[in-house]
Amino acid sequence: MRRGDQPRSGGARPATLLTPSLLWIAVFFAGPLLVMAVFSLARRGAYGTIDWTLGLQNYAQALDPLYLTVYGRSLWIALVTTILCFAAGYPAAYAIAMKVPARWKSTLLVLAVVPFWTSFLVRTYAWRFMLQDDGLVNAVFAWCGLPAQKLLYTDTAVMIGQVYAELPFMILPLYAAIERLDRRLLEAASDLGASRISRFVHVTLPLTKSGIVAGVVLVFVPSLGAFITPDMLGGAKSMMIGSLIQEQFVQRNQPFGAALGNLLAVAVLILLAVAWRAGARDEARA
Amino acid sequence: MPPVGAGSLVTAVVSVRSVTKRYPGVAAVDGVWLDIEDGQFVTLLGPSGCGKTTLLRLIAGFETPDEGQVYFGTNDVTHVPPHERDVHTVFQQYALFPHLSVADNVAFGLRRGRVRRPAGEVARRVRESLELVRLTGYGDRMPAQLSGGQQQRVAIARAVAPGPRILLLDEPLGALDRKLREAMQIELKQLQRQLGISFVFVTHDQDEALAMSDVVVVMKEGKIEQKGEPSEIYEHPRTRFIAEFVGVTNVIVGDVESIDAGLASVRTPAGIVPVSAAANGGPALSMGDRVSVAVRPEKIRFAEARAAGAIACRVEDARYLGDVTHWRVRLLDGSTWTVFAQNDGTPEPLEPGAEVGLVWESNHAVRLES
Repeated sequence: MRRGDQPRSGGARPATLLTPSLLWIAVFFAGPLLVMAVFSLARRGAYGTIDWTLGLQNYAQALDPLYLTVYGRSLWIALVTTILCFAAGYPAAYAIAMKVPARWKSTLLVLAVVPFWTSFLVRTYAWRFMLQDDGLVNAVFAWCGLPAQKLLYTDTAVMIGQVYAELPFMILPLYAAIERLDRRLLEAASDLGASRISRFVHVTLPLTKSGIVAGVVLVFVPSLGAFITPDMLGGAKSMMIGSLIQEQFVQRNQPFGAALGNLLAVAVLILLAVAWRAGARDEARA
Repeated sequence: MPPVGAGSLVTAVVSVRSVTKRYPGVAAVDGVWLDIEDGQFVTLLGPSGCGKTTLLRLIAGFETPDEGQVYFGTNDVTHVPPHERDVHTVFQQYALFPHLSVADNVAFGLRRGRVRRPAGEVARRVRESLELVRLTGYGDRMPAQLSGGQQQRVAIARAVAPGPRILLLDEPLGALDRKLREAMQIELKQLQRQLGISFVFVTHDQDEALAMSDVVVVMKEGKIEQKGEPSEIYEHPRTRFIAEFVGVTNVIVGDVESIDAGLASVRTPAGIVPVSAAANGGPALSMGDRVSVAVRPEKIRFAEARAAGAIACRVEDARYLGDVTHWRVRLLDGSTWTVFAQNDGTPEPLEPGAEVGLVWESNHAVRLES
């Protein structure tokens, strides 16, 4: 090897190494996107066939007031889910990163992701048993002398299920950001007279912004397009975008389903762009 | 009662009273008494692990003593949290807030501190503080855009902006290169005079301590070894540890053979060494006492090998440094001494192996406590 050459392992070129994954992405990611784009311009034909007269009518239909409430509810539930995940996740991540003895950290982090060891469907079924009218939650309510609550098939049930499902995705990036936080900066803030609250607002929060942005994106985006939780815990009354899209494909209206899917993807891309800009500015300052 | 370190309680801005701070297995600060007078530049000097930084953190409030109290003036602040104490710290690695501009860093203590100040006053103090550290016009920069020396100045401006009565500095110059460090020593001293407040400065660098301080506090293993003016610490070190930690020194041990007119003759394996018999912090010498004697290398002159009162030795080697030559010589007892010879034009015609005598004024031979 000449001096100055990049050390190479096995002599494989970058192109060789990247080809399999690039092919994978082309076939299974870019391909379906293209199919979706074309489908969304077609129309529903008779008896479940597709009429290949291309036009924008599906996008016009997507703006029908009938569906706007579904988008609104989806945004609302995703927003509340994100806020609740942040409210529950930040203290947890802070405690694991700053307060807990070092030997407990990895155990607690593993505990945060332990739910992933079981199928998501199974866990969501478990929530049904907990939330149904004669379920565990109402049993506890009754034991406490509280009136029974209608929980299953409500927005509340969806939010509970979503927060449960998404919380680890909030805790992990927040933990990473808080762990990186320079403790001396906290001492400096106290030294300059900042109270604990002021120190948190003006030093801790801004300096863990990258983790907050990552956590919010990781929770908000899947929540917005969630399908299993709203379907199983929310039912028909609490329909969200994910269920709406799924319904189109079941009812053989693939063109409209494709259009809805594309709109959701564009909305998510816009959100990611905003988040990336916020994060990028953060990096430039750090 | 109050041993080394304690002064008059009346004028002390900080008074550390019999403070002990233990960590598992070690007392980082062990029964320390220390009074810091108003407007003094006090340096805590010692090797790493001597407790100087812990003592500083006890004053700042980041640590709470296991025993003893810390007073600011007449107020017991032992259990007052750091953000309620009227002291500010310049941290070792500056600890500037990376997400805030230079001006916002300097304004932090003014905006977030206990005293609410109007925006106009904040702006004025930020401007004045940046002017004080000669960083006018740098307010809009981010800390990452500044050099180490500039970040250092911002850290100082940030700490002095709210007008503390005491400034704590935790090895603030350690990360700077030698030239910059020397320039900053002079600037810090000027700044302290200008502000008229007390500085408590932590360092392991004896040159820094001697050059800047009104009072040097030498620490070892959690205790104060000696407290005094720089010249006192250098000329009259109390113990062998201080003599060897502050500057270079030569130590020889012997027994008092005779005492005549306040001068004790100490018989050592290398010859007779005269020492003042008067008390130097300890009891006066008497016949037969075993004493350690320290002589600074620059106090020693070369003489004829058999000159009266000279200690005989053999030249080992020389380190020519331009302004001064460091000679290494071996005494008759086999110990190695260092002699600094100023390059003042007098030739030192010595070759390795040459036999010479060493002489010094008897008042330059310092008795050490054993």
